[in-house]
Amino acid sequence: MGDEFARRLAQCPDHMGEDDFSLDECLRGLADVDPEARELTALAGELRTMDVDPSVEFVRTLRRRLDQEISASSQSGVSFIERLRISMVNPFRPFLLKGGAAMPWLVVPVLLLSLFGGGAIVVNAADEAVPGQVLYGLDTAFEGLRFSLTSDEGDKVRLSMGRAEERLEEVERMVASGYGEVSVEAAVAGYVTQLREAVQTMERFQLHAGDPSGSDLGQEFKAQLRAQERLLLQLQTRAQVREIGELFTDARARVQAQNRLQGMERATPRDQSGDSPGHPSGNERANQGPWSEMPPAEAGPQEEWQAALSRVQLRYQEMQNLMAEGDRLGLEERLRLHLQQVEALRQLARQRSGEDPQASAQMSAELDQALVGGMTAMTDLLPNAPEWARELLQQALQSCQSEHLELQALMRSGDGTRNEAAGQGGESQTTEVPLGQNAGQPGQCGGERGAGPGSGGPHSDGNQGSGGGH
Amino acid sequence: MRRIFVFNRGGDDGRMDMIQDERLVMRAKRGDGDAFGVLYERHVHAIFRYVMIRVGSREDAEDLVEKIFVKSWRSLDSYRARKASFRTWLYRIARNTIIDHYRQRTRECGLEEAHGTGARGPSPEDHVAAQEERTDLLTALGRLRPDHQEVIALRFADGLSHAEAADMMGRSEAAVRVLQHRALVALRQEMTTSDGGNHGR
Repeated sequence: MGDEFARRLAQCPDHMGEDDFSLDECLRGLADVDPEARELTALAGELRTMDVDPSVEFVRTLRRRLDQEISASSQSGVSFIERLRISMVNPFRPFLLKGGAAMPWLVVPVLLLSLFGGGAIVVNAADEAVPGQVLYGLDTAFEGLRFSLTSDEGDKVRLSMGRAEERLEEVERMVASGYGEVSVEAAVAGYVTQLREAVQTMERFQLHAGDPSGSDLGQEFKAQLRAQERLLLQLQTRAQVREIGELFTDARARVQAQNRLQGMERATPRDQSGDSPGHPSGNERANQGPWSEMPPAEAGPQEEWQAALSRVQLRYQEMQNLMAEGDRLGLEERLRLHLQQVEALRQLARQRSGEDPQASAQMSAELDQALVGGMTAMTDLLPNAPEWARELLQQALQSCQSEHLELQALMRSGDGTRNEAAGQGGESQTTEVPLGQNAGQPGQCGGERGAGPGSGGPHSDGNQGSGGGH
Repeated sequence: MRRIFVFNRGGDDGRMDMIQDERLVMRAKRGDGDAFGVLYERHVHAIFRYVMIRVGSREDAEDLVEKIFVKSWRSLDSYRARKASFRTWLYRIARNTIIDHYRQRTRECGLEEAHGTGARGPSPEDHVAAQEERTDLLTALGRLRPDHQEVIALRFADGLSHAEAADMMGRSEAAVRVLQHRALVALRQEMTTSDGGNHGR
């Protein structure tokens, strides 16, 4: 009785807090368990509504006090360099030497300007500037100088990632202000360039520091990537014009690839080259650098499709790592993105069906293989997954199953062309993957579980070059 | 049939908050005072409620909350998102600040007693005013054991989940459930003792 009461009582305030039911309803539910319950639950309710909030005046006063504290600590900062990093403006970026060091004769007036406080107003204004505005050059130039003055590799990573974040926030402001497609596209390109610099800086850091991908900085980097990806997704859905929304697709794909690679690099010591023949193993890919998975700028539709398919891969090892780390957020993100990517690609295949049913069926078949691979990996993981992850995997599997059925329907709509075009992919087009069971096709999910030749992953030789020429 | 992978709304909001916090912390670490200001606005109410329940006096709570946020700004560089969420980290600072506050108060009381100089404390009028300001509930809370106060403050002041409260207190979720029950029973007992069993207000 006591345990049951404690359990029910513990849940009661939660439900009340979420407005699932009222205090009275909660009390009625508890009354039959223990007569003491009514009194204690009422007490819990009283605690919830107790007036222990700060006064408005106090909140304002403390905010002012904190602003003073922050301002004092920035201005009386410890070192000259630190002070430079925080408050200096450099409008002379074009005059910086190639290696990033500023010419001494230019540094002096800039320092004077900033040290005597003249730069502060400009800094604030420049911070809010967006590409195309006069002060924008100041903002980026200042960032560049700050970066070149930083000697610590870890700080360089933080700074360059911070600059990427700044670029993305500029894009956000531009979208909110209704800038046109051309301007937003240029700003997105600026963000991608900055992200690339951040990744390269991170790579240099990793090279010097051994294997810091699991370090605090590595985690911070991943957290930043996740936050940026979230923002990109928001921008994509928030954009009023479809063309502008589409501008974010590629940037998101790049960030997703980065996230995946950050996970892969940690997995590489155990990752025993399960990739399909003719494609780099996890180790090779990691050595090639995170941008190696991205199609080159001049890539054709076939390469783009293949790259998009490779981004859909849901890797067993990657999920296992996330579970081992207890990274619920990471796993959720990964599963959600996987499904979004599959859906986006399925729509692409569907669009294609009108003009070229055969190509559409082929695309669907390839995508379905990637999807089934992911489902296989998930079902393999289920038996040993911790409870929190099991729930997520089961939800994802259900959604995958629906996608799988949709894709099969799409393949069937290609009629006779399906068998011819998609037949190389193995049984996955017609295989129902039972939920919660091992579907028995290990290796289709990015090949990290030891895919052999002919396992039918989108990267496998059997499918190369048969993407339909879209 | 809708295929989009949907998670429960509450959880999503929580995660969004966490990610938002992380972004703000990153910016604040780079010296962006405004970002820290936003963090302050996001958390000051919850931290104040937590402290208020623990110390029972608005005046003390205001002093302590100020210390907590100044301390958190000064030690922001030591915060690591990997180890705990910003909110958890902030609560830990709050908890330690409260412990320091009680330690200091104990020392001061000891000194005053030793030197026979109680005159520097609050005047009797101040004391009465402060007592009137406190509700019966707060007074009763003040008589609870620290871990009972703690669990009530975490669970009811900010509505932390059992898991979050457990993380904060370094206990299991089950232990927190049991502790919460015991704390409520103890609180009811305190209130019954103080007003003859009628605590309804």
